[in-house]
Amino acid sequence: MDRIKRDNFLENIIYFMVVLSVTLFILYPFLAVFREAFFKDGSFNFEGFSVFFARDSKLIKNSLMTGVYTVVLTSILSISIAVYVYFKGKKVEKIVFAFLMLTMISPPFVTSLSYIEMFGKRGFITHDIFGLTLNTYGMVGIILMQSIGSVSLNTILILSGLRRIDPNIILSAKDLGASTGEIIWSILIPILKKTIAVSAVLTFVRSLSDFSTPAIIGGSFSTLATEAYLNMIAYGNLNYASVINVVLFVPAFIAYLFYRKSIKEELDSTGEAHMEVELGDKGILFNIITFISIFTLFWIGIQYGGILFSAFSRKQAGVPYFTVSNFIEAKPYLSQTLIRSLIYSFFSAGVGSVIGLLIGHFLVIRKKKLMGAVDFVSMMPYIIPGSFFGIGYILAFRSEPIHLTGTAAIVVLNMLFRQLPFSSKLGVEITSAIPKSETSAIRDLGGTGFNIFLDSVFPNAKDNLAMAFANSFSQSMTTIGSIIFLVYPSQKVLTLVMFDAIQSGKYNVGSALAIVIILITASMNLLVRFLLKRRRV
Amino acid sequence: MFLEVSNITKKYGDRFAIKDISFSLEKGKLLSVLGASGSGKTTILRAIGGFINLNLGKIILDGEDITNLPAEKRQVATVFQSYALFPHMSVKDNIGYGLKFRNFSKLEKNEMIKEMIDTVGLSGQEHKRPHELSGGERQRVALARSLVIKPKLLLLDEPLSNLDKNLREVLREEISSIQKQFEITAIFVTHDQEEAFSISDTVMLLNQGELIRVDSPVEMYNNLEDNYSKDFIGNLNEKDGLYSRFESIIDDAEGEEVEVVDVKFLGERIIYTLKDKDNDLINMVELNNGFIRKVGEKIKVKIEWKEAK
Repeated sequence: MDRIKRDNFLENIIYFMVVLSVTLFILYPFLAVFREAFFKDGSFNFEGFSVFFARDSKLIKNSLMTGVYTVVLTSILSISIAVYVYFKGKKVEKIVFAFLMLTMISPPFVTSLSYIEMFGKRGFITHDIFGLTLNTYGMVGIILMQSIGSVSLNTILILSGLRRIDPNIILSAKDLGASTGEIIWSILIPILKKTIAVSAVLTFVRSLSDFSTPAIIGGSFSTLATEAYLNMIAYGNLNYASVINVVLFVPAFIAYLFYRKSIKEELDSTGEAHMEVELGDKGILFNIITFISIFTLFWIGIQYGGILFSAFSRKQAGVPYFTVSNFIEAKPYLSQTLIRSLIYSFFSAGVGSVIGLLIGHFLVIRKKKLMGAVDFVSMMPYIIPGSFFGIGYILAFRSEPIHLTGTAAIVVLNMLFRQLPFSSKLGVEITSAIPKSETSAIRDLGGTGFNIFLDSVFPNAKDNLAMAFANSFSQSMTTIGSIIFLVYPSQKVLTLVMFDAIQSGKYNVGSALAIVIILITASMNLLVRFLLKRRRV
Repeated sequence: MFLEVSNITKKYGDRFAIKDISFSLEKGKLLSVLGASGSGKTTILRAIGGFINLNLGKIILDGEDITNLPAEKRQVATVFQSYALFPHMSVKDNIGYGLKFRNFSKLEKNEMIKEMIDTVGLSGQEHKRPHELSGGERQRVALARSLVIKPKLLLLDEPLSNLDKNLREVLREEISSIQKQFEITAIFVTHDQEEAFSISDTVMLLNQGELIRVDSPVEMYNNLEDNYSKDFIGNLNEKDGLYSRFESIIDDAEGEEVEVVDVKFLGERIIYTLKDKDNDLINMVELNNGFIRKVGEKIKVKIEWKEAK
């Protein structure tokens, strides 16, 4: 076989494997949930839905309300912080992002744990300092904690939207007489409408699918996601869990279609590079924004301070004292799970980043026929609820031809494909940024598609790939949403044992475990950044 | 003087973006700021527009010290190189944006906007968004948006550099006639000497943040005073510390004999490379009148050597 034939053959095999893996590990489990919800013994059956609407339809209201309030609060907070950072410049950005990173690299329910510890019935702030015994469990707590959890990602999205605006537009408005407040109100926010809408949609879907926050601090307030979780874990009712997830899926899917459309438009628009200009930061609106930003950061600070405090303290007769016994008690939780978590996350992040890049290669550069559909499917886990994805895996892989129940493989595959949207989005961005002339030159000089990947795509992607890896790694280390349904005791990972500890009331041990997880993800992120920086010098 | 700029200086770290620049401008006149990229042209404009804080210096406009006034309070309007139109607003709303911050009735505002739309030739385009316009139309919107607020000083930051050559010349003429019609005082930044010479009353030449010379276009071109102008402005031959413009070398039966060694055909002009009696190479430019000299031909030319002051 000559060189070109051989390379094309190899490339086609890889292409086939990418298509197959996305079909098998995203589309198939996804469809399995629908099959379970709508079919019983081979015939169409609407029974589950009738039961749901007769008995649990209030859950829809609860979920939607929580979602809407979370979206409103998150949007206000993240727009404020993004605008604040934009006007204040690089130095402030560094400090703010250090805070925001904390919420990005820690498990999603860490803040809920802290919320109980600080503001719960026996909370350090409400009870110990102010002498109040408040019932803070319920919707308000959920909204607050989901907002804290979402504010970082939204701020980053909105800030990158701001950075894409030609700074001369702002100067121009100023030049024509607009004050800072008017610039924010009449220029920045209208231009950012789409970005804000996209981040709102993402927040809404995250809120809908989040079961851990309501499970920890919801008290008697239940949502669709929590109910799906309970039906699965506590009652083992796969059919009903599928029904609830299908209900959850409807708003999520509408949101997804909107997201796809907006992201496309966003990729098409390019702005000038950010330049050094003195934007001016005065006025009432800016002062309000400053207040909101600093308050939010302070709040995040308190919550994470609370984790640290509770990890290193115990109470004796209501008085806290310093101790490391929480960590000692956390040891049995750690002994098995630590290494396992690291290996799982390493593997899923590593393979996921490469698959993401391959998707970009086949879609953008090679323009393969099936890739449009593959890209669409590969982005789905971004928006479908984690529980949906988890239950889908149970249903899809519980019997032949692919029987994976109870194996480590099902957990790793689930982590991998759940993180794929981040990697494939990045893969598409990286490959779109490669000048067409570069890939044309390779072909012109006799290179194959295989050479394009090895000599152009991969070298161009190295740095971004490292960042994608660090990001996927953090996500895998902190994920709980879908793997909680798949893991057998022999495959428990850190987030799950932490969730168990909190559920059984061992808050201090939970905090100690949270600290361990945050330390690991933070180290990985810092390590990657350090290596990249050193290479650039 | 209407505009007086004295000793303005801006440093980024250790590097001077502009250093000790002083000049003045009469009311209703147009000054071009000419220089290569990185010469500090845009920095001067940003300083006058109020977008950067100066390290040193003073700017007085119509008797008022505006040095420390923020951009939104200065009666100065800038037309940006990228036009910086508001993408979410129609042509009409873009042009009317600055009027929001000034006390006019709705009727007056609409009247002013309409008049301005007519002036720049955008009638019928009022409701379009910037992305629906051509480059030239966008430029007109940007110009109208700045003019409608009747600034005391109009700043134009390379406003034509994103357009192709023919459109550039058309718009150059339009800007020039609008400037004269409204008797507006304006500063025009460009790296294109022809543009600067054709449009302005005065030209200011900059190099690496320092002011080289301020003069009328004719003086600036015809009487070179310094080495930088010599290199930057026009094309010239140099010999024994003297210079001569390509176009000042002319056919003359009484002149010195040279040999044509190269012919560059540029369409409207032709550049000939000549070899003189000392075997030095000299360039000469002639308009294309249908008669083209050949390599090897011997001709007689008069070369006027001048001394840079």
